[in-house]
Amino acid sequence: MKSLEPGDKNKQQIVTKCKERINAMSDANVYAVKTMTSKEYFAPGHRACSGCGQAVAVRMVQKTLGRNVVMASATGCMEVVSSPFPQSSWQVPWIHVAFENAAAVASGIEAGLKALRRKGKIDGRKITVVAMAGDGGTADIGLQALSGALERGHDFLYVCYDNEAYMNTGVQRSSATPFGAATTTSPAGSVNSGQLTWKKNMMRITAAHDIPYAATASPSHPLDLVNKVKKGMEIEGPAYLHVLSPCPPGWGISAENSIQLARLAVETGIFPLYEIEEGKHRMTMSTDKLVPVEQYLKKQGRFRRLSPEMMEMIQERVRKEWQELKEKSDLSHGHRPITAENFLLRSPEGESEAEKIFRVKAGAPA
Amino acid sequence: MLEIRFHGRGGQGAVTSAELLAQAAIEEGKYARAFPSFGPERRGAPVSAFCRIDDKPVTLRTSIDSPDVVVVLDPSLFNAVDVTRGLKKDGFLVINTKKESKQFMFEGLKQLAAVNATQIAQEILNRPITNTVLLGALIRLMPIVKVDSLISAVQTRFSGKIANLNVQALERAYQETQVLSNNGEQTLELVSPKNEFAGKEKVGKAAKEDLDYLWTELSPGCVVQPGSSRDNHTGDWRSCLPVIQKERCIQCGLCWAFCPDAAQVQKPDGYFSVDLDYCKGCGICAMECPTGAIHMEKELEL
Repeated sequence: MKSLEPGDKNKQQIVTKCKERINAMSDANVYAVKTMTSKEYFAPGHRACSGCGQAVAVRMVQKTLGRNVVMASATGCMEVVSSPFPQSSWQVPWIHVAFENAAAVASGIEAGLKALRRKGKIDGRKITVVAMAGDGGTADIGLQALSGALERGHDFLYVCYDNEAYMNTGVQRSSATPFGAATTTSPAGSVNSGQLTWKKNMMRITAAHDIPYAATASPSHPLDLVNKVKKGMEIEGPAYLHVLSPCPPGWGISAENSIQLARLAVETGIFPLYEIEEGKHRMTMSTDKLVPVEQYLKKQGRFRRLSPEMMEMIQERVRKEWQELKEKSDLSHGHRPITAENFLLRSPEGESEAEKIFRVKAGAPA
Repeated sequence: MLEIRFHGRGGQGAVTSAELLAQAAIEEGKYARAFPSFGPERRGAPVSAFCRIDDKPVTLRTSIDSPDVVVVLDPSLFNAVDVTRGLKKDGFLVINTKKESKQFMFEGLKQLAAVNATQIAQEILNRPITNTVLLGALIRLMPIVKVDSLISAVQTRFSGKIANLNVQALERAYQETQVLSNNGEQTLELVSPKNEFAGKEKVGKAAKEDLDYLWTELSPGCVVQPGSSRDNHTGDWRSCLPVIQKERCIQCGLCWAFCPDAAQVQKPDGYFSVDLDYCKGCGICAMECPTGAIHMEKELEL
């Protein structure tokens, strides 16, 4: 919604618009973001571009993970912007590793913690091991390490922040770059409008390892994202989370639009929100009517040269994949609609209910 | 050798200006070298770019610590960066400001060129990219290269409409630039850069390292404090400022949740306020506020 300047004339119209907008969002979606802890585990002062969608996503994920966590981060934008020497944005144990081995290092941490616990050197507190990487570190360079870690069944959560190209080095194509998007290594010209191949489907690849949990999430839907991170933490065994992270310079959008674009990606069906739990699909954002993809593509500079025929091709493919996903989804299976009631509210001490449960379960002191 | 340092913000084209100037000098048969310097910062962060021009081949590849000329592309940089660091005595300064140029004059500066580049860029290019505008001001101050060679460099670099607009911006800046020499009088006298700068003393603060310490000074296994990036106040990247109208605020917290920089802080009364130390002015909060309680205002030039 357009921001309002003071002294707007058509006040009545604006008030009606506001009411419509609030009614359109369920109560849970408007207010439940405040159930995230007010503590920051990803400190401000990082060097991410203004309007970075990935920084929004990282903040939300870290807030949900809390402080009993060990992070292994592959090279990429988030590593570079958060840890320029001699400063760090991280308020949790965090290891920077090479581009290709975030999942391998997370496996090692998990195995090490298990051994220390067995020898009685650390208490029984639940410590979540998290590997994070960009789409390049996941779909291209780190795929073998990820595949190995998923196959060995380590109890960890892998978060892929997908900004759909190698943004850190100045927008080079990756296998997660969508069809038609212009990057410096898949440039738009008189013949092609950009990337010639379709986006690699990481969800199908990870789900093919028969892992207990895989999900997609978007920072534009915070409640959904938080719930999925929680599930990924709680589930025994490997969990995979694919988070869309709009990149203003790489996508050719202005800074204020990044969350709006993430929302459009979900609403157009280009980035459907769903989860695969024990092999069962479930759509967490299901709608009968998809927004035309044109609305999402036209807003971005990287799709500027897209011809109407190519746009139609994309629309066709999105429709087909959405239909397939819908047919696969078992709506009766464990369907938990997101409401404020089933989302645990934050206690006055500033500790979320879920954090408290973890603490009590693990027998750690208050 | 003439050494020019450009200060800008990521995305404003400081790097491009240095390259265009070098390109124009090379076209005239001189030797030049241009390159940028930036850390891991992104769009909006202070960056600098360097350009060396000489009659014989330029072999130096280091950053310029004691420039002859400093070009500042963004008015808000005066607060964020020590732009005149290491500037030679009787050096030159080219700035983008809408203020009186007199107040930027200081002892030891020979000439100052001031132009309201942001306005020119907004009017002609429709975006605050001030690089070609400042180049126009720079060659008005000192004819390092001919206007024509600079225009031809711009036309080689850009194409079509964008090239034309940039040439327009450059020419307008050339007309509108005010040149001030250090006796306070406005002057149109053009100074030749040749042999002006040999053996000049440095003024301004002594060149110092940007980091507090070098990696060689640290013992292995040194501790970097968690969350120490809070020392890095990214608020100086901002060109727009979110303003919250309390009457419209329903305290939903969406601005806080969607802020990439954790710059929306909830006060004890339940309302949110902006932490100016970290807000980069992206405008996501204004965009996402369900009641339109936040709007963006232009940051004032300090």
